[in-house]
Amino acid sequence: MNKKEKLLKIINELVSSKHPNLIIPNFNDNYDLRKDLGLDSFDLAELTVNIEDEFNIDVFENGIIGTTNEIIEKLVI
Amino acid sequence: MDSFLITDKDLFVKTYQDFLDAISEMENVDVFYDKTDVTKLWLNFVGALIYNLDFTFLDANLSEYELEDINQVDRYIPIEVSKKFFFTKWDDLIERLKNSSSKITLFTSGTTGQPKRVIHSIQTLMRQVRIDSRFVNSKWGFTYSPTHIAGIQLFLQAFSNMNPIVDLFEKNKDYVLLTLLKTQLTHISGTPTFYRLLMPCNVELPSVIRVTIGGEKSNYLLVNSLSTVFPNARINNVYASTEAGSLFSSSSNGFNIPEIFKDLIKIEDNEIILHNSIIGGIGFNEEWFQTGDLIKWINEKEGLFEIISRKNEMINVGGNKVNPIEIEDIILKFENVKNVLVYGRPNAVLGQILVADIVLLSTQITFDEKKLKKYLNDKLQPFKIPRKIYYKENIEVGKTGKIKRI
Repeated sequence: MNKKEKLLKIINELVSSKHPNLIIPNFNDNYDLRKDLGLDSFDLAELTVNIEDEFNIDVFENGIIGTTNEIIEKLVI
Repeated sequence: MDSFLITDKDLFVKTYQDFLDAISEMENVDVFYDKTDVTKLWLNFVGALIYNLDFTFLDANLSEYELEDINQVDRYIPIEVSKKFFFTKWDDLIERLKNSSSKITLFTSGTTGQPKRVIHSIQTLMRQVRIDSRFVNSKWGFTYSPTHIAGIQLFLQAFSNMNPIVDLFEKNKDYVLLTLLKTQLTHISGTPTFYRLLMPCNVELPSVIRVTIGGEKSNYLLVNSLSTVFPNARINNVYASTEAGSLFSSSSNGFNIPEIFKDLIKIEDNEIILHNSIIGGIGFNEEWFQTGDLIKWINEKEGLFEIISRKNEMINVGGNKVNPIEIEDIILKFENVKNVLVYGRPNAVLGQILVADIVLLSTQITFDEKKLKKYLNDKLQPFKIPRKIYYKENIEVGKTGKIKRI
C-alpha cells in the first residue's frame, strides 16, 4: 500500500463511520473535508491523530486545512 | 424595535417587541429547560426571572445515563402563571430581572463522575453585564452553548442592551463567515476551537470591534490569525468558570487580578482561589473556592500571571470539560475490557482530543471497537467519547500507585 492509499484508507474509515454510503474512490477530485465529506470538528481532530500516527506529521499544526489536496500537499505524497 | 435573534431557523419571536409581547402573553413557564429551541429557552428563562421562579439549564444532548443522578422531581414541571406583566419600557424589564430572587442552576463536569450542580443568583450572572449607550449599535455573535455559563452571560449582555443576537452556535465555517459579513456583526466571543475552525480565512471583517477568546487556553498563532481577519477588533482572552462566570480579561496571555476583585481572588500554591461572594455559591458553605486552575507567574511583583493547567484531572476538549474518571468507569463496564486510561492528547483542532488506552481481558477475542463507540454514544455527550483507542498490554502506574494520566 503506498502513502496515498494509506491516506485514502484513513479518510474513508472515518467518513464511512459517519456516512455509511459515502466513500471516496481516489484523490483525482479535491474534496472539502467539511462540505463534501461532512466532517465536524471532532472528526477533523480524529483525522489529524490518525494521520499523525501513520505519517508522523501533524497536518493541522499551522492552522486548520480544508481539503484532501491540502493534506496531500502537507504530507508531500 | 430591533431584531432579537438572527438565525437560519424559523422564529415566532423575531424582534424585541415580539419578545415583550410573548412575555405579556405567558401562561406558564418551563422552569427546567433541556430542549434545543433557543428562543423558547430564553423566553422561559426571562419568564422565570420575572416571576421569581427557580430555573435549570441542562444540555439537550445529555443521555438518560448522565441524567441518572439528577433528581427526577426537577424535570419538566411547567408552572402556571396567572398575574400578567406588561413592560412598556425596556429598562423596567431589565430592572425586574436584576432584582429577581430566582435561583439558576447549571451543571458542569464534576470531579466525582456525575454532573455537578452550580446554583447562581441573577446578581452573580449579571455582575459583568454592562448596560451603556456605547452598546446601542452592537450586534453579538452567539457561538457558545446557550445552556452554559458563557452563553448565558453573553445572552444577558446582549439582551440587556436590546442588541441583536446572531446565532452562530454549531454552524459551519461558510455560514459563519457569510453571516458575519451580512449582519455587520460588532462583537464576537468564542472558544479557541471555534476560531481555529474559521481558519484559514481570506476575508476581512472590519465591522467587528471586539473579539473575545475564552474557555480554553489560547495561543499567539491564533491571536495573530484573528488580527488579520478582524483588523479593527480588540482581541481579548477571558478567564471564566462555571462557578463564577467571566472574571478577568487581557489582551495577552498574561492576566492581572482586577482592582475590584483584589480581596476576593487570591493565588495560593499557584492555584486561583475565589471568595464565595463572587461565585454562584448558593449552598456552598466554605469561604473560599478552589478553582483547580494553576498559574505560572510572569511577573509576581506586578501580579502578572498566565494560566497553565488544571490541578485536577479535567480535560478541556474544545472548551468542554471532561472528567476522564467518568469515562473510564463507563468503558470498564464494557465487555472484555480489563483496564483503561483516558487522557487528553494535544490537538491542533480541539486543543486536546480524548484518547483511551485499553487493556483487554483476553487478546484472543476480537474487540469490537464500533460496538464500544455505539455503547458510549448511548451513554455520553459526543465530546466525552474518546476519538482514538490504543490497545496496550498494561497501563503504567506512577510512584503514588495512581495511574499516570499524562
